[in-house]
Amino acid sequence: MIWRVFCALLLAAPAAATLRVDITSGVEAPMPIAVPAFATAAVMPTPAGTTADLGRQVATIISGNLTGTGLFRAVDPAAFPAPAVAQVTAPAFLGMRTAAAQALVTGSVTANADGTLTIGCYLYDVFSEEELVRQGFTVTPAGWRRAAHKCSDLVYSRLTGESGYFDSRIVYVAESGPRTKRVKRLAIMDQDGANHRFLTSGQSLVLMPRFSPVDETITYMSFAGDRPRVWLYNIGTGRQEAVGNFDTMSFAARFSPDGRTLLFSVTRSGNADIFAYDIASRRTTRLTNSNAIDTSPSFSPDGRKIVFESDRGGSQQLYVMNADGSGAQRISFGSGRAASPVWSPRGDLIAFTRMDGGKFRIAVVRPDGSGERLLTDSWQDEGPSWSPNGRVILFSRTERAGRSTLRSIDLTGRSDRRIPTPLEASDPAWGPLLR
Amino acid sequence: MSERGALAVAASLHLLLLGALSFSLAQSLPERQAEVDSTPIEFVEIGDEPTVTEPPKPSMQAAPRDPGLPPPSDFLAEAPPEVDKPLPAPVVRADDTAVQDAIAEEVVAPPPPRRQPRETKRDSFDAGAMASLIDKSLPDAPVKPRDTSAFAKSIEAALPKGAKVSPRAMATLEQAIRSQIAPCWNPPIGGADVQAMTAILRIRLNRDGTVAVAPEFVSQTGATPGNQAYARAFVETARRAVLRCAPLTLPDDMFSYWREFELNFDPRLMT
Repeated sequence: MIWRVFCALLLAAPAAATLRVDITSGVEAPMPIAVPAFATAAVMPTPAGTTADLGRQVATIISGNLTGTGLFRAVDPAAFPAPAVAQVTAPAFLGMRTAAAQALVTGSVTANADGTLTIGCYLYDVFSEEELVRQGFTVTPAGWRRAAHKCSDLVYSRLTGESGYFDSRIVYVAESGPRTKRVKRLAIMDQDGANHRFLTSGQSLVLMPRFSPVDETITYMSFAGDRPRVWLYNIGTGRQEAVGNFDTMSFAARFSPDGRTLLFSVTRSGNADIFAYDIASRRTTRLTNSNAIDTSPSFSPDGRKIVFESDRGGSQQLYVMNADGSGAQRISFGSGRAASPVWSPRGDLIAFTRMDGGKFRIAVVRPDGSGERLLTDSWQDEGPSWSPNGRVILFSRTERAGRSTLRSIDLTGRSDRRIPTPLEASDPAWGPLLR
Repeated sequence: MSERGALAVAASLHLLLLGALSFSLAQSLPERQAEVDSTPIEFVEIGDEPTVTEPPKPSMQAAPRDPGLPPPSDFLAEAPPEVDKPLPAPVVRADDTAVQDAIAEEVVAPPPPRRQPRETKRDSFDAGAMASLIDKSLPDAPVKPRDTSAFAKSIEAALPKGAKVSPRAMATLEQAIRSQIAPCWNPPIGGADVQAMTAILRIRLNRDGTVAVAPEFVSQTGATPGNQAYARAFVETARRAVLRCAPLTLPDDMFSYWREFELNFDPRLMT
């Protein structure tokens, strides 16, 4: 009997008597974060500058990456002294609190004897005075920016719980020359616009480049040999290969989440249908067979569904079907037309171009067609592409004067940024996180 | 088996389960394998002293080294990355959510129906003074004022029998805590799983309102095996809010009620 009472008390006791207060509101302000120049124990020359210079530049890149998300605000580096090497692992938290920083990113740059650089990256919670995460990155001097991006991803993912997207690249169409004789070249760059290079010469018109989510392959449409069709391009090896063997035009290709299948459209007497192409076996399967233009297919991240646009109902709208082409259901309603759908890698949303009232705007909608939300409001924003973590959307904006640029906007609509490009730019596609 | 024996077995099994769950919290995820890109990058363990090409001069300020970390020479000797060699990937430490899953069904009870509390002469603490305190606290903070009477019933239930504090005073205390914590809380509302996530922390304060013990995690809803990193970041935003806002200014005569209490962080109204 005593045992029974004891056990009952043991189970029941904590339930009562403690005051519990619900906190149902908070602030949505960016989190203040301190990113002082990374320390170096010995200032050494490297092909990319001295280790002290690199320490400052690494901190600048990390600070720019984090503040660009709209979730963080960099505390003015003048508000606190840059730490020496010893303080990297024993930070002066009090000074950081005085400077109102909530988190501290710090680290060091070291030139190794073999010519490589080791960049150490540490993240601290200023109020609990805890080290949250640390990681070292060894890079060639030429690759030092990657270490800064990796450190940014580490910090971002630790503080938000989402995966990062800074160590990734963008492929797009660089445009130059007069409107009547436009030169369009494929170009690739880091997500912040650095390390820009052209992939094609501009002799043939190229359109709609898309990254493989798993490796260094791009698919795009080229008019090479006056035969407009889909190509594969391995950036690592430079090898190019035409996809399929159709008498008519193939276009709007996109990879499956596992990178093994391509989806694209093939025209047939004024109509277009969607096909799946197995890259390894080169076998093609027809998925739609309508008297309408079915195009812009995009897989869901689990590979079970495909969203695409079609004018089968009279106007251009979005539809979702099963991966085998069955069970198509319209998901876009409201006024105007809807085009260029692309499924978020997170799976929760589909981004697309909403065309209404003479304007093109970037919008998101849930896969069941509910919760449509416009993210931009300009004259002509189109061609959305998701960041690898499904948090930011890249798109191209054409101004009324005709100038075309790349921009990104985050899902809250707060962080609207221009991505710098040397020439005019359109049709961007965000690549996966680099390994 | 006797009843006493059976209960003893049951009690020890409970303890075993508790122990097993606590242990699994400390477990790490398996290492992720990284592949080499065209621009090589190598993940390395970094010690408490960054690697230097020439040994640093001894300094009184030098930080103590963690005993468990490899010496710097370990990664000085690292060979350049090879294409086929899997790189040592960062070990992601994440709390196992077994415990969170177990308590996920324990959704916080909905607030009781509204009821006007009776005015009482037993009111032992100055509600007017508390109200002015609430008004003064961070005027630009988007704190949604809530009718204190709505909480009266739940508070009454929480009060020990024969307590000298009125439900109204208790509700005002709640409001005072809320108005001081909410302006410091920056919940990660952009996450895909924020709609279903809440976290409860146990707070222990000193009489001067400073934090006596680091806020202790009690339970969490909405945590799944797929969102562990987000669930952890969520709890940390809550913990940071308490540490940032301390010391709290609360009525001294009610110290026995706020010496230890729980905060339920619930951002669903914000999204």
